[in-house]
Amino acid sequence: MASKKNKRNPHDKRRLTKRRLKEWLCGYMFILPWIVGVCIFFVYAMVQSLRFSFSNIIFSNGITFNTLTNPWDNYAAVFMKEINFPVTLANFGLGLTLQLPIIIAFSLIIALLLNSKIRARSLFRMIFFLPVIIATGPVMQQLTAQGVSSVPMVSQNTLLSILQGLPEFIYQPINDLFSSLILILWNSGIQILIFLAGLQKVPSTLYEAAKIDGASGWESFWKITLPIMKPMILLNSVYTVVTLATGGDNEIIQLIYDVSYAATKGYSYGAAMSWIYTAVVALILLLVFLLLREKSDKHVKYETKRPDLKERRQDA
Amino acid sequence: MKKLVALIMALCMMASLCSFASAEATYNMPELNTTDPITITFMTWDDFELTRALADKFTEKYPNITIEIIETTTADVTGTLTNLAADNNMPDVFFWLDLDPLLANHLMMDITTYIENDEEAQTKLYPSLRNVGYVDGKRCFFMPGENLPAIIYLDKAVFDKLNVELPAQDWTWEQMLELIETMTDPSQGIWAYNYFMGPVTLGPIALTDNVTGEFGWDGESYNFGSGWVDMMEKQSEYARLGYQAIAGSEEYLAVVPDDMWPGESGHVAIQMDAYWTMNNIYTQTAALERGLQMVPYNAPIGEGVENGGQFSWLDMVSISKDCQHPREAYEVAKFLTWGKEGWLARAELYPTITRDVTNAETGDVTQEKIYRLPGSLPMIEDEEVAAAMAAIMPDLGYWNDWENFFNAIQNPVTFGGRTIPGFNTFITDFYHGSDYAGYTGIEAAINAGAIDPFDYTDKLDEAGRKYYDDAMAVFFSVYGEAE
Repeated sequence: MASKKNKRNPHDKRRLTKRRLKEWLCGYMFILPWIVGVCIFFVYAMVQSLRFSFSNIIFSNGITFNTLTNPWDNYAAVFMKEINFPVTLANFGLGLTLQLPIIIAFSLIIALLLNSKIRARSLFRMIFFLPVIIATGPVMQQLTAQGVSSVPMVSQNTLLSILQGLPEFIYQPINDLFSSLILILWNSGIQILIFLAGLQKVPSTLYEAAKIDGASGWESFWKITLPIMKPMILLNSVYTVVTLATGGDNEIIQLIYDVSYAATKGYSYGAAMSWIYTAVVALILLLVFLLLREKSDKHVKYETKRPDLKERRQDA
Repeated sequence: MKKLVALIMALCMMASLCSFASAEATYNMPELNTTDPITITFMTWDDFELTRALADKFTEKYPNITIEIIETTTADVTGTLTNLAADNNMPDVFFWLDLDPLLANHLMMDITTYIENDEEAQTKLYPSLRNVGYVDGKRCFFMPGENLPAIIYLDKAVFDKLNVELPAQDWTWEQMLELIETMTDPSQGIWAYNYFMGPVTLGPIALTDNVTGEFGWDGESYNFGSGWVDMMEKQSEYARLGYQAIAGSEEYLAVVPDDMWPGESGHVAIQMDAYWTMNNIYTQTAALERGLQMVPYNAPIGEGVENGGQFSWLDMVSISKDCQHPREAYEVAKFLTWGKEGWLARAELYPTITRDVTNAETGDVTQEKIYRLPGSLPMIEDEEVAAAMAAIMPDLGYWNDWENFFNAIQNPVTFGGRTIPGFNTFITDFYHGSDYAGYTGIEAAINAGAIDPFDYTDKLDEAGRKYYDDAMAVFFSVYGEAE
């Protein structure tokens, strides 16, 4: 074995050099708090929730697990008995379909504006990120209660009269969208930040070259910016789906809460419903991934490829 | 012979009198431990300062019993309780909001022995509260903990403006509807009413004989045919005819451009609201400066209705199934919630109790009074308590008839989810969750004019009863049948 090790190519990138080990350790040290947090607060809870969903539990003198005749009973019951679940799930899907493109498009536009050379750019960046901090607390509840979530120019009654002819399942998500439009846009701070980070990595030489070739700003956006930003769009879409799926005002989360405390349903039933919902969200994420994935990494490679020693020497 | 018959009859009368005398209720309350040191944990969302002061008063009386307060909030209480139960660490006495999870998880102790042998509970609790905790009609598992009644506020300033006299405190439901139907005056920018809890919630309780819960629940079945149909139609009609002030509407914005909450705008004659609004808004300087003169009225009961109810946000209190000192826990629960001694202590504390307030800039700590009005209202008929409470109520200047107010507000009936097993599921799944002519929820369908509520009363009664039966089946499977 020792002789095999000695025969290894010293330029083999898989070889664990001291420097690589240091980088590796450094990287893991950065994400260690997250790993610890996930293991303690997330993995354990998930495993426990899975156990709950395959039994019938009672909280009395600790947790009492009662075995089910068929371990899938709770899952079957959710599909067979829960009349509100498919409807709420469909509403969520429809709402998501409407909200996701709006958030992504809005974030990208704002990021493009914030990336342009304007005065007080940092101030504007701060202003757009501020709601992310404000939105995490009672301030947001107060603002929502005072009606900041809807667009002031768009009267709910006017909207109602325009959409009145539509079936409720179409009308409701559109109405919800308009009534919480400001809130949706307000929650775009993180997405703007991610797009901004991506935009700053686009080499200016590409735009210069395009300009020399006679490309307009519009063409540059479609041919350079958007393709390079595609991985960021995927990342932001995933982030947005997860945020919308787990938000406090999500109707399915409320439904899961309600059934967990219902006498005839209970925690196990709620846990089963949670897992079905998790599967649906995972499916949506998969769909988003398949739609937006980067089939070729050519744009990213261009940026992340580290010039080798020979090239650097030549440059010098 | 006649003499003999007369003698026998006289003897019979004597015997029956004796039997009546012996039938007088006897109370054999188990003895309270007044020697061994005992700690009772008490979980509440009520003001900590008040609860602490009350707990100290209790310990003054029973020095061997210490009360440890566990703070929670109304938003967290159900989750906290189930978490504590999962951790096998339930508080001895606890406030709660939803009955169903307590039934399904066997969290409450059967306190029938204590409540039935407590003379005060049997004779002084408001009649509508005496049997409130009997889940299966035989066993009692909870008691009333806090009484926050629905209050109908009549703005005296608006009534004066329209030259309409205020009704008497013992007004009826029909009188209230008549006022709602006659007091809108668009030329003066006045709407007849606005509500937090509207006629649909309050009406079926006020218009059903012997009611014990929402939608005319009488302990065995709902009565959607009694009150609900009429009130659904009325509520919908009042909005359509413009009797209700609707914030954000064009008509309202024309009169109140800043879109202020209608109940505070000074443009509404009748605001159907809650007791706490008196403390939070109507006795505040801002409201008084705007000229609001809100007179509190009880939620009225329908004419000729026997034992009709008045809607109240009643919070309940239970003793944990695992409590090691249930007798002492019962005494603590009683003192800190509905008991006479506790209320006499509250009457002393409400006007004086303060809270430390730290100035954010200077860091100085000052004492601030917590209450302008008592935080909640009594739950017992007792002259001493009524007098003590009337004495601490503020003179509003434009009105000061608290004695009649208290006399008229003694039949509280609360949310179904607090007292009727399966109610919350029925409401979520069927009432608000099912499809009615293309609309989700029956109220949405009725308000849109898509269905006639009358056609649905039987279906709602049946469905409600089914949800109740299903929840009771769970209850019996967990707690067993009564012996």
